[in-house]
Amino acid sequence: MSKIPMKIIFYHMVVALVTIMPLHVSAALPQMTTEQILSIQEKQDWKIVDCRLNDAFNGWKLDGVEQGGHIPGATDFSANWLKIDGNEKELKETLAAKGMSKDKNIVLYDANGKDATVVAEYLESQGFGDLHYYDIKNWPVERQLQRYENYHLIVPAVIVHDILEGQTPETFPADKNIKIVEASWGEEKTSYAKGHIPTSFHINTDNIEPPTTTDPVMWMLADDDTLSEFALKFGFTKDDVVIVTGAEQMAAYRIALVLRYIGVEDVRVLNGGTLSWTLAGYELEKKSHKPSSVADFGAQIPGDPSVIDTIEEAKAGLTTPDTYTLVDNRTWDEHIGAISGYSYHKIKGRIPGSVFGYAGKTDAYSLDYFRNPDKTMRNVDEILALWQEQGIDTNKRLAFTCGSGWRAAEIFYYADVYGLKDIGVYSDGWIGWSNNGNPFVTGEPKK
Amino acid sequence: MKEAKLINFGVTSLQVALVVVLVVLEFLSGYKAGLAQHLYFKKIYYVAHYYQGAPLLLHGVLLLFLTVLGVKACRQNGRKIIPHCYRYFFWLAVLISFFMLSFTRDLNIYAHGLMVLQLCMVLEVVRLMFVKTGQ
Repeated sequence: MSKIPMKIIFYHMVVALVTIMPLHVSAALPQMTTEQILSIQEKQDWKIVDCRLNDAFNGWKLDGVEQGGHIPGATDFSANWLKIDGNEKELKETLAAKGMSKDKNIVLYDANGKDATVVAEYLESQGFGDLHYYDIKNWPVERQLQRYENYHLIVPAVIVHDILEGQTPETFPADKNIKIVEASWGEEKTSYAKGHIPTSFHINTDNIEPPTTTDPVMWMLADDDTLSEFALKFGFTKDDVVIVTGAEQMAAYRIALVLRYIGVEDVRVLNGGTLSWTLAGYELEKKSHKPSSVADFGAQIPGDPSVIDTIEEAKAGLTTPDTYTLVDNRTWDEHIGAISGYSYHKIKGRIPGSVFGYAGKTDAYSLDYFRNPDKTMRNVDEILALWQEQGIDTNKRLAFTCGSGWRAAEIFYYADVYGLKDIGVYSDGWIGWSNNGNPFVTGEPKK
Repeated sequence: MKEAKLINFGVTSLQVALVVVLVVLEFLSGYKAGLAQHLYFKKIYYVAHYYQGAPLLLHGVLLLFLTVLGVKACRQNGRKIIPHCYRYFFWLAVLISFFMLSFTRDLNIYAHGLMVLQLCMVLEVVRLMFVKTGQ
């Protein structure tokens, strides 16, 4: 026998070993039955972990499951998070935040036989021992899984892909025009031209919040006439179904919120932004698409003013703290007035009566407390726990606020996905408030 | 002689460097939201506080003073105003155009541009003061 066939055999063996290695890990995990899962649901020394895409956890029916949502009481640790490079520290913090410790028995479940394996490998590398496996497809149809009331508001990449393939996925009406748009600050060259979701056209956020041309500089929400012009120019009508995407999803949520304010009835956002698209293995497009303008929006603008609180409404709300909470979604340093958060704004402090509601850990452009490592929406139980810690009562009207409405828009959407009923955004935020000469306070709030 | 060459080289290098920095900043501001916001904020602030009303008048007076200084320096060093002051008047023309044109007013580096051009004029006067004829 010559040397070449031996080499080929050797390479084939290596490839085969690499291929079956994950299967080996999966097979090594003890398999759980539905009865066993039901029996451990309440046990403190067990942790049930959903390893699928967060969208499946939220409620979408992915990977051929019959029911969307997650096992009641389960937490999430998506295999998708492990695709992000250089986030070891964040992953360890995430494990701790979810109460996933080595002394617990952990059940990993998925629907494709792969996600749990990936997570198991990671957990084993971190020294976790008592790992078990459950196939969510075995979950009985008659038993309701838990899903967020409005999970459809944030859409997974695979669903957007299905739409582009001409399908009508669950929750989407078959008879309506679905528009996919890309939102980011600046002209196309800033972000859109580097790659966007196929067929989407670009919206510069300056269209809905043009900068002031006099001192002080602010990016405040435009008046209703300007927003009407914006809607017509970009071809929006009230009956559209819009999916807003973007590399920086805060911009996408900002545009989505404003479209809802204008009166577009069905506005959704790509969960995790364009990162979720590339993580799903899809290609971004670089070709430029232009919107077609329309002559008539089809309804009075604004169609849903309840989603945005004016400064007068915020002031009135603050006088009735029994029914209204202004949730300050900025960093702690911004909240106590140690920093303003913005290079173009110098006044530091917070609105009197506002309650700290978390945002990011680093700067005014981060939202670590509300996002998973892959930038998707965080588990609502964890968000609610943070708010509870600060004494925020979700039965009151919650008006989210930040610097000028970007962070608050994303958090508004997450609250809406969960199903909170009486919510809005005080859009002008700290910048609008402080530049208007309103009173403010600094320092740590008294409990 | 050597000193004059050094001044010539230093002034020209500094002028070129300042203009290059402006161009780079304007270019990058088309891509970086934070930079664009900061430059825009500074532009509006500087225009409101330094390039309008009384401060603008003061700029005019200082410009006149600078021109007189440049012309005097030129004469003291035994040179004719034209052609020896051409660089100074070139920068003056650029400054006035930059101040007036709507194209430049739209630039994020508009206020920084005005400052840089004024600085270039000051450097030009330094050149006129310290570099004698033929050097």
